[in-house]
Amino acid sequence: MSRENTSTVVVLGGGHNGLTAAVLLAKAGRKVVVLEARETFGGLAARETFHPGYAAPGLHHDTRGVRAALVEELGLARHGLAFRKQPTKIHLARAGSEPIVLDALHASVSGVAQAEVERFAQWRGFLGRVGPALRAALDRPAPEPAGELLPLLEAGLRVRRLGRADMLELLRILPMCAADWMRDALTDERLRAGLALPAVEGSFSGPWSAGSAANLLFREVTSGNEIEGGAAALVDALVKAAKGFGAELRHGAPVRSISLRAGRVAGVVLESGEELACDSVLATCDPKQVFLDLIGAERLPVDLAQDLERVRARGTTAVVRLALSAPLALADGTAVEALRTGESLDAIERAYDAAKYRTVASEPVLDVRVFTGKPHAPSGHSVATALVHAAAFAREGGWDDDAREKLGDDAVRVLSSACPGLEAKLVAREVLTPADLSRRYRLTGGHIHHGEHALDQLLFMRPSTATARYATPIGGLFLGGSGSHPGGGLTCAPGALAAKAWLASR
Amino acid sequence: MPNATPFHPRTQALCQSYKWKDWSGYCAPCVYGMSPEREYNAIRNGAGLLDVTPLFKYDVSGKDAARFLSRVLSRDVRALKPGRMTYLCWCDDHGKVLDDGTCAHLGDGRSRLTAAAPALHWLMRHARRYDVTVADVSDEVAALALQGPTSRAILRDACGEVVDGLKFFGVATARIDGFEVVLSRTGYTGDLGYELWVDNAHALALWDALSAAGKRHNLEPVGLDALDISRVEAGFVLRGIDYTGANEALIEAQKSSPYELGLGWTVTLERDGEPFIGQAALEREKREGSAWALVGLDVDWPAIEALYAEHGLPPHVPSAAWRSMVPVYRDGRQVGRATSGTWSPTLKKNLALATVEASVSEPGTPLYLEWTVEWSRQVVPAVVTKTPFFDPPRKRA
Ligand SMILES: Cc1cc2nc3c(=O)[nH]c(=O)nc-3n(C[C@H](O)[C@H](O)[C@H](O)COP(=O)(O)OP(=O)(O)OC[C@H]3O[C@@H](n4cnc5c(N)ncnc54)[C@H](O)[C@@H]3O)c2cc1C
Repeated sequence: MSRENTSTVVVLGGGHNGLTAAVLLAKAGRKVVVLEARETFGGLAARETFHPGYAAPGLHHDTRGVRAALVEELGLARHGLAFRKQPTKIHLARAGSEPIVLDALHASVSGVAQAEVERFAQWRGFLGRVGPALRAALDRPAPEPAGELLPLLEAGLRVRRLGRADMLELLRILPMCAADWMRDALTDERLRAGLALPAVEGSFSGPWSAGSAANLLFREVTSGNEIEGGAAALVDALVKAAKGFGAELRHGAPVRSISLRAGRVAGVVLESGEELACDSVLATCDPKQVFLDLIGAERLPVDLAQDLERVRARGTTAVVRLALSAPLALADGTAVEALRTGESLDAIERAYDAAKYRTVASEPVLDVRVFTGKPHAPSGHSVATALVHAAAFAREGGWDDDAREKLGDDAVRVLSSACPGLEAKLVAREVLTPADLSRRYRLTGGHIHHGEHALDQLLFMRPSTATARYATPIGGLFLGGSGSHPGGGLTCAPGALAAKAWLASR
Repeated sequence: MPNATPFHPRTQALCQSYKWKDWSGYCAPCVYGMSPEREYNAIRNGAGLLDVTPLFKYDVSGKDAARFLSRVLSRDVRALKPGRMTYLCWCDDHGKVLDDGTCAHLGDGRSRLTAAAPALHWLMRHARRYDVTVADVSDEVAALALQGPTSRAILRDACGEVVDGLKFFGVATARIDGFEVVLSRTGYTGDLGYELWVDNAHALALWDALSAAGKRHNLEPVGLDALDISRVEAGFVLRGIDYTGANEALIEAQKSSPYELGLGWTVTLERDGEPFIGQAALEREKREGSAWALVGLDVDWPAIEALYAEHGLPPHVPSAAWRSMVPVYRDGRQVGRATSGTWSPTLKKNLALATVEASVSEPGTPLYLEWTVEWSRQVVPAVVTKTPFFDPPRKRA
């Protein structure tokens, strides 16, 4: 056995991807140390008490993207992880009329005309047919056009096998904007907007931006069952699994720099000054931080530094967490588990425009998830987390308390119009602007996906062509967070693919 | 349309040949009289005055100037003392040469970089991360090269004793008629010589002062043709002729590393702190060896005479240097190409600079150079020779 085989792999960042990588590396018998800056594990998915007695199970609420096959491979069921049997019901609030109700898998819809249900089914049918081919491409390292021919051919063949009509439709959609695609497929504007919203969250784009259709498509085809207990439950299971395989998990251990010797990883230096020698780092914090801050552009090959500088990570999403003394309910008293505002594609686009022009939407569009009762809140009480679209990380004039409070006020006002009486139930609220997200979770640009999901920043270009296959031009340095293919979201996929690339390299 | 340099009123009046060429966007005289011989002889026996304004010049200042330059340049210039200048090159990520030039430490943390091709964009790309200011002074600073054995005497007459203390590759500030001139003991001829850097406003006054002082010391204005002969004798490579800047190469094979250009001695691999651009690749090349080497060739003259005789012609020596790619052979197999060459009036030899496979680059290795007489392609023997071909002790004395 070579010396390298026995040496430690440092996994940088204890978010869900870092933990996933740690589980797989430890399971394969490697010595693993996870270094997490914060006091808790899970990163953006960590459970957080934001007001005494009220905890949110992660910043995200959408757990549809977690890959069932990976949950199996990681052995998470043994640690208590379970998929939900009943998908969450998502209410698309509508002023003055009944809401549309979607299930979390976007597989069924009610509250629209019968003909629209039919159109919706047709749209789902297309997704169902192209899904397997796309999933296969998204759940393995992205083949590089200039690289090996076989994986490319395979991917191409899989698309060819869809048959002429679906293949051409797929190619037509990929560069489109979500709004045009939705308008082709559906007639109900409220439904179109409700389906399109998740595709633009955290991407510097609106439904009228080119490429947003691809985001919607990729998201839809990679969605499976949700996780019982939300993102935090996934984190709990990953922590247990990693420890079970003997990985060392250290929290409160922020890394200040990655040291190189002769172009290879030589170790990491913590902010405490502690130095850890290692010949291998699998970094799951965002790639711009990894290369430009932790190593430094002046130590990198010029082209590599330039590629990373070019990666766009302009945060547009803020978070508002509400502690409520009762469940969140619509005007008619219906308690909601999930709710999306934004009555039209244009409403979402206008909200994005604000971020595009470096301001904050005064009519933000909200994507809300509600967690009622224990363990999230005192029984009968609830926690609502809203992703607020859109607020510019680079707000002109910067972010201050006034701007933060205004954002919170606007979000509460928008939510109140769908859920009257909200203010009376409000116990406390926490507002996290993109700048707050950047500070608290160490996200470059406050970007929730560690870099935008744009057509030129996906697949073999995520985060850059030279680093898209998890290994990087820096010997011993691997990437494996949301900044890597297949990208952001609670999926476990980048972490797993990176761990496998690491293992294959030894 | 090329621009005129600040010396144009003088050079134009003197240029009887009307032979000009575009040098980096400026019009520059090839030769003032009918042939470059007289001008070449001035460089080697008196002194030549050459307008080198078209060189690109960048002033780098600020707290991180030396650190920044050492990141970009293949040579570690952090130890370069004020009043010193050094010759160097810079490379891309893959250790391929982008350009060669000089770096002078002018004092007060200010350095001046000269380049054959524009480098501002490349410098600015990296400067952002340092506390430095990079100023393109190419169009603000006029420059003259004063080269040849009598150049020191001319300068002593023009600006006094400051020149006596100036060592090879030293830089100093001098005053001539009340204006300031930066004086460096450098040049592209391989002879005793100086370069003078001055604000455009004083360009003509500088020319006039040197011309006046030169009257007693055989000073001639010289053009690029004479320079070309002397730089081949000195074994200096020319970007765009003897090598292609990596950023202009169309294919990999057109790129060269410093080692392949004989510039390995300017590369500082041993250093602490940040690596320079291309370092990893050059470390590898140093370890594993280079594919090519730039060598001097001493081309057999009697063989050339014989080729001409076969055609019933007298042997022909072009009065200017040539610059074209000419195949070089060993045992009937092509092992490289000569890229420029000249008849050396001083050495009475036929010289060439060539890039050949590293395995045939040892001095003394017999090779063959293609030589065309009339329409007939032949080969003539050429022996690998150390450069510089011509290296007079006065250059450093
Ligand atoms: C507001 C918000 C809403 C979201 N909503 C959804 C959603 O609904 N559905 C969905 O699928 N996805 C959503 N996402 C995206 C998803 O949360 C992320 O893509 C995913 O959780 C990222 O996981 P990760 O492990 O790649 O990175 P992270 O969770 O960011 O983990 C990186 C870890 O590295 C640590 N770290 C960073 N720098 C250092 C350092 N120098 N030293 C040591 N440790 C360091 C961080 O503290 C962090 O714990 C959302 C994200 C946000 C912010």
